Amino acid sequence: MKIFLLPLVTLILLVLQSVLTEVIPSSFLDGMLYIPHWPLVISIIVMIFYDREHSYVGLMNGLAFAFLTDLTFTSILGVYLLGYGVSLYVIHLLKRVLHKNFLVSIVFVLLGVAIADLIIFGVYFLIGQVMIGFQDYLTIRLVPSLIVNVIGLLILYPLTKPMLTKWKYELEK
Amino acid sequence: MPSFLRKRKLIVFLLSIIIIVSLIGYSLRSDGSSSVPAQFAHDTVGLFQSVLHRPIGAIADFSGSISDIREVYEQNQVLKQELQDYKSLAYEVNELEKENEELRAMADVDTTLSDYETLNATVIARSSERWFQQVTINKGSQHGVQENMAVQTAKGMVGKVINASQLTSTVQLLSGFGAEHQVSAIVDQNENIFGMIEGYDSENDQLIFRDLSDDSELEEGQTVVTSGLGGVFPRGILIGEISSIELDQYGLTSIAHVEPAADLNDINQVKVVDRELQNVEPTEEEDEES
Repeated sequence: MKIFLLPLVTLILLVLQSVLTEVIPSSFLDGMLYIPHWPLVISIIVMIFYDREHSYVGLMNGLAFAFLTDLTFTSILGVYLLGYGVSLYVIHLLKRVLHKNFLVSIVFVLLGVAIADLIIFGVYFLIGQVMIGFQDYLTIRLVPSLIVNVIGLLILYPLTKPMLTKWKYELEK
Repeated sequence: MPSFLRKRKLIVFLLSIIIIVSLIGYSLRSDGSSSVPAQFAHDTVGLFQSVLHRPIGAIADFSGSISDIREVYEQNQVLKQELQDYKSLAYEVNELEKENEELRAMADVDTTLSDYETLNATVIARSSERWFQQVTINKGSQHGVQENMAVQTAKGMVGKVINASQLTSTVQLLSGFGAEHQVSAIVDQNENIFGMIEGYDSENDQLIFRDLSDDSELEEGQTVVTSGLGGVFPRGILIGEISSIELDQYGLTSIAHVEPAADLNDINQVKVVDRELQNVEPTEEEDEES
């Protein structure tokens, strides 16, 4: 049961972000690109509060849903896979160094989303999918995306953290 | 032991780089036709999307209608006036249609490029990667949607189907059109001007129409429609209105900036356009209608 819960929640987040993108009119957003990376956010939370030293549940979950995002929302496979993969691995390395609390998880989400989105921008820029400059990218896309993903974290954190720490405790016992 | 671990990590790293590069290369070259697992993924996500779209869309509609109430009276006045014009127009159209049918029967022409049937669909989701201007609609190949069909709203063309799975399909909007999705277009009421819609200028939110005819008679304010040539689009779907004209970088052909007729950012109901001419054999539905 627990095995299916995490993919199900991530799938619902993935679907929710696409439905919300359709329903919220973009005239309301004033030319800014708010890109939700909520599957990445929940994978980071799992990685911090559930994964042990050598388990990769969060990483695998993130990679699977990165591929699903590539498949369903874009016509180029592999870009989200690379972005989410690198960003989750960096966080896997960093989480040994830092304590596991709320502030650190905000820092990790900011860092992870920034790495993933920069890689996604870089690859799309290389293959000619986007033509905007780096300065424009920072103001139009990166900053709004960081905001919307931290909002995602603020909603997901209180819902998932107690359950994850409980499961980890049961696992270690 | 550490050196072995490091070696294993290096191999995993190199393998994943190779896999990702080949994936990107594959999808850049592929023609867009989707395999069975890809269709399954699309349909599974699409199922959840249509389930979630209903309550969320209802909430958004409700808040939207509250803000609409204020403008209702003024709109009503304008609409009443337009309705009177509409009645005479509808009568005229009826007469013309009847005449057209009779003339076609006399000339023995069955189907032309302008004949098409439409299929109504609802937009249930939009790609959260905003650089890909793609939306998902709730009709798929089970309902008769095929790849490369044109998609329009009541106001004008919005895009084309790039991926049709069983129950849902993906529509590429005009605002994401690049060199790989060109549309053959003409200027309405002037057969001499033809050209291609060959891209989208995201800074001004306008389409780029390259005029390929010799004598350039482009004027601002002309309407651009699909030509029906070179593809599966029917003739005469409204694309937009020319807002400015300039020469291209070599000074040989002129380029017009076209304001899209449809609002590409707020799309709810769409019609998938099925051109009749490509059907070699008449289908059963058509027989029943006639």
